[in-house]
Amino acid sequence: MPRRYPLFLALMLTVTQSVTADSGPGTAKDVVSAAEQEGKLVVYSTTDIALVVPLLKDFAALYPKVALEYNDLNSTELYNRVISEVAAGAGSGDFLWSSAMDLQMKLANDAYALAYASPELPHLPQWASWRNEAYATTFEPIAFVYNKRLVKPEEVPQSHTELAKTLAGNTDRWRGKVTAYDPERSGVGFLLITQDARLDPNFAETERSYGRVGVKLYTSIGAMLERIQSGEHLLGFNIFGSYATARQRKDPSLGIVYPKDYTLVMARLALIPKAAKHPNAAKVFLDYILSKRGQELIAEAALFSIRDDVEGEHTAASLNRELGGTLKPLPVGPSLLVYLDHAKRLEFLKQWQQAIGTK
Amino acid sequence: MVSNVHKRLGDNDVLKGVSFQLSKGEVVALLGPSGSGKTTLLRAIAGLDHPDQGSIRLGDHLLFDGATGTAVPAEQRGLGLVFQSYALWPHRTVLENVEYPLRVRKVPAAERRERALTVLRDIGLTGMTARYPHQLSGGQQQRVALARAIVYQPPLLLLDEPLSNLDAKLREEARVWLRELIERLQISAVCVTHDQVEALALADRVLLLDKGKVEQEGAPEEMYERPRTLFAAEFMGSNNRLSGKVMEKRGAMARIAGTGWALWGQLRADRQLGEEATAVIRLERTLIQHTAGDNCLPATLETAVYLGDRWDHLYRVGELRVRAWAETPPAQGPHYLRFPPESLWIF
Amino acid sequence: MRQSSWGRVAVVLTTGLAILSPLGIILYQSFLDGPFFQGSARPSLSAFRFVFADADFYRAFGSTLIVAVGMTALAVPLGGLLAFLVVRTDLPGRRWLEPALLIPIFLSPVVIAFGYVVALGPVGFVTLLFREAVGKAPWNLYSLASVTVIAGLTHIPHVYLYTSSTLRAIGSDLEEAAAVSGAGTARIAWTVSLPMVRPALLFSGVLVFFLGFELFGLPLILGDPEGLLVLSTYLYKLTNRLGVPSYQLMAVVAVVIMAIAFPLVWLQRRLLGASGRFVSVRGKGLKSAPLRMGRWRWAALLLVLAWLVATVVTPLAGVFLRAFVTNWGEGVRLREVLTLEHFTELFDYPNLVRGIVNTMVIGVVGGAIAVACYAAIALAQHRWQSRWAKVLDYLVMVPRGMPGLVAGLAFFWVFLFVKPLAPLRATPISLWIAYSVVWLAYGMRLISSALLQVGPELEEAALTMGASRGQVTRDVTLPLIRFGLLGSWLLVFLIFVREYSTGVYLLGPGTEVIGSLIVSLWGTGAIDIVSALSVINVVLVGLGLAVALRLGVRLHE
Repeated sequence: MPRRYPLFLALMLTVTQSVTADSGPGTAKDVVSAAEQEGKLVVYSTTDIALVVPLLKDFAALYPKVALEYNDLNSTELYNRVISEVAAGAGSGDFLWSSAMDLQMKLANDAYALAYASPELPHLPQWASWRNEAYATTFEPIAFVYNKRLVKPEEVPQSHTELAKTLAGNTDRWRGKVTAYDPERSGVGFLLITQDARLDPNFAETERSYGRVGVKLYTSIGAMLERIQSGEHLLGFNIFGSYATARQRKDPSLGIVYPKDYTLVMARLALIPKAAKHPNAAKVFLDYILSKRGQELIAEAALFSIRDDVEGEHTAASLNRELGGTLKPLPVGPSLLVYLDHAKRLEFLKQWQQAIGTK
Repeated sequence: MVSNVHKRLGDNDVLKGVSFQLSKGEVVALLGPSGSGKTTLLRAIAGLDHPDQGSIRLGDHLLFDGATGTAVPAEQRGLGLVFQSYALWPHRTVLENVEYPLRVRKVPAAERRERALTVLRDIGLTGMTARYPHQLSGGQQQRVALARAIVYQPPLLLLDEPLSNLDAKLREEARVWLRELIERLQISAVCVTHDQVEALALADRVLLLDKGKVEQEGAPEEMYERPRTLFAAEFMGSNNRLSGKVMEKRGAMARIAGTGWALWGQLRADRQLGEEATAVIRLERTLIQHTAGDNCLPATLETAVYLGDRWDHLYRVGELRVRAWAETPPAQGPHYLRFPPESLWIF
Repeated sequence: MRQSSWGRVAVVLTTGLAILSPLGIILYQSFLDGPFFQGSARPSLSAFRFVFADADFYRAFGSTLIVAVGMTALAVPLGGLLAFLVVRTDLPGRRWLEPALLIPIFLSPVVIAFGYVVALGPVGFVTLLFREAVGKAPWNLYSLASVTVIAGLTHIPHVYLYTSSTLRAIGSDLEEAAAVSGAGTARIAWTVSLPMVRPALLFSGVLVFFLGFELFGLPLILGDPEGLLVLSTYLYKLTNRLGVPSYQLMAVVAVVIMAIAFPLVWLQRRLLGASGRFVSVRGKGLKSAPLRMGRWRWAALLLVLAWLVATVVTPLAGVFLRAFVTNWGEGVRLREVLTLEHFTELFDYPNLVRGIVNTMVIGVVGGAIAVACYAAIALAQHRWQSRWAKVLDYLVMVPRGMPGLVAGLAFFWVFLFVKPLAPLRATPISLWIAYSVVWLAYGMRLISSALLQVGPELEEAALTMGASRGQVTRDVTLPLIRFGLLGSWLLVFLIFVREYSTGVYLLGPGTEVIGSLIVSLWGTGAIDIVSALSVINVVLVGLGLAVALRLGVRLHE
């Protein structure tokens, strides 16, 4: 009996090990137990809670001892709260998960973030982490979105250059029917337009074509998608593929096109603040999100997984196959901070205003 | 017991130095037209408003002294006040209203109830105890207000226009009833009124106020029969008024004359020969005659109004209009008005 | 006498603290060059310089001015006319019309704006019907003109309130005299009634203009597509201007808004003083026969109903419609998309459920506690001849000049930085404090009007009987204003439930309420949820109004 017992146990252990090692996070044991001691995790996130409910449930199943408090904020609020709460010494979030790449980068650059080398790191692309302080957790392509009911398939532009031509070529058709983020009032919108300026060889023309059709600018993606769905607008650009896909599931009349000349890829950045009250719980959560198991759920939620070994729809792997070299992810690093400089920002905005002011 | 030396209220100078004394069991009426300051005086005694100057004493207690800045708040003075509007609390029954002062004095419940019921009985309101004020008539409400004010036997009762809210008929009855109650219970009271009949009926002493000053003070008969100023004379009763000039003086009498008439009367004010003066005579003293006589003036009847208990005749004497009362309707023939000299007061 | 004063003085001091601390922090922040909690912030005028050099700021200011003037020009004449029609003439159905007319006051502006988008937006159901019938819908919902018109229409009830109570208080003797001498109804309205209610019209005109400056929900939702900005939305969007939140800029705009608001509040107070005296002149109060309008009766009724339809029915229909369909717009068949799933989805979001619960708790419990506080302050001021009472008077005016948005931001900062208060920040208590301060003047006015009903003699009688001031309050004053307190509670409940701007900056886990959730979710475009929440908000308000009407609470102040 004593002989067989350890063998039995060893067998069980290997079995369970392999199951967890298979897709679960590879967090170090002591970190896990420290996390369980902490018992709580406060997440500040810009991701709609409805999208991540399966993720949270799964995490709770894996780590029942860590109670997760999920707070849904918008990106500027998140930044605001973190800096003011840290300055006040009051409690703040333990895990910051935001799609505003520049603001997250600023937090990291301003030394708010804890450095932690996640064991899942090898499965992420090289550009996806900065000094182990900021991690890209998703791989979200930026798309054109259109209303299938009212726009014929041949009208849909397949690239940015085509977009400019289509709009300029038939301004009456498209007048008031095109929508995008307002770079002036939306941080993420600004980021996307500046990337367009960098990547689109024809950017000046494209800008002007927006002006000629009187592009409608919004601060919220939901508003844009809603109006495309309702037919108030026909076409939108610089739309998050993830949100569009989620909407498309409910309303098949939404069409999505990933531009063939280049497709920007945004990532939701995760950060653990130095001032976190439950840093180990945060580490565990980070590892979980980056693990195969977590990433599979992310893919299912149409948030587009970034990990290399996750297969299926809405994954980096499938996108890479489909679009290959035209995918242009934004590297996680100080380059994101360029336009947080007031002067540069205001200058860019001025030239943008002038360009779209053309009729 | 109350001696007011000097009271003046700053803004508006409502009271320009009023003093009076009150003895136990006495009723003083503060009489005057609106704006004379009588209500202000009452409120000052009650402690609801504080004067600027002067002092108020109740026996040995100093209630107010402008010089030392002593001002006892209303809730500590222990006086009784009956408001013109009765100020009954609408959310409490009659019994609760009357019991309240005793409750505030922490009188035990049983004794409280008994005392309240006794007072209500004295006042003639048994059977109303469970009613609410809005269910009572005006007269009944007044009684409740009174009951409430006397249930704790205050040394002094203050009444603000006690009868003015009642209908004319009720007022007459209430006058008598109130006087009887005050005498029976031997209450000391200060009563404010603008109705001279009320003052005469209720008070032992009347204080006539005008524009913040005391015009005249005295017993009711004295006030009515021997007014010392024109204002007092006119305020205390219904009069005929004749303006003219003093033509002659003979001791206490004088002859006053106007265009086409001349009469002898009692000189009540210091007037020189040739000075303008006003002669006043009570309506009931103006006599109607049909023959000429001493101190008579011929008069033409203009109209006569029937008032039930008498006729009110309106006469014209030259440019003057004179009223007189008679028990009979006007007769034919010439009319003369006689003005008995001792009743014709010249100011 | 001295002892009872201490209690009153304490009340004044506490109130002063609660009111002046947010004000102080805003002023302080506006004169720094960075967020005040960052050590590197230095006193400077850079924030002012930036804002005053910003073309958008002037554009926003200009738009605000246009909207404020326009809506006043629209609301005052129409509100006055409405008051005359309902109070003086034989308008059919005026008994049930009255409460209906006051509904827009209690509907949340974000809900109304959202409803308009669904109904009259470029693909709104009314627009589409119109287009089918006539060909082209001639209006643009997202223009400055539309915002002005809608703002004007929804503020008619404010003018109506003051004008109608003035008309009622004055009594119709003068108009009857004119009628008897042969003047027609229209002539009477113009030459007799109008001069009598001029003070009320003036006062409500200033009020509406002032409200125009504080307008937030309507321009937020309708201004987005064309980039229309008014001062409050400019403030709200300032956070993204520089990419990084800039508290000092926000503080500057807040200071500008308040600099305009305070004189207006002071002006209002002066006018109210004048018209208040006017109102207290009681007419004979006899039931007099209403002025006849002949054939015009029905035309007038039609006009009133048209306004109701435009201002209440249309947006509400939009809101309800959107809440029960999965999709809407051009090419969508209504019958195919009806659903209840937006409501069931709500329960997937714990923060939304929390928001709904918080709203009800803040409304009911918070409302009760707020009324108790207002009563304490009002009682402290009641029949108190003292310089402190005057101080309280002015203190109470201050929060009126702070728009909800600004107050919420200021309280957020206060809670963050006054260490002992910090744990309250994440609870609804912080929200409740902000709400109570913002609506202080309104609540006080409700209670004061109840207190005015208590004749001073009733209290004086108790005093002469020997009751101390405390006993007088307990035994006489409070029981007599019982009903007034209840009415105030209901009205405060309605106001708190409707609230949306104050909670915006305080919004966080634990402090969600329906109103600020709608604003925030609108920002993320979760229209389905917004519509479901709006319906719930409307239902809550409707319940509150129903209870109020049932109890006969006078919805006028």
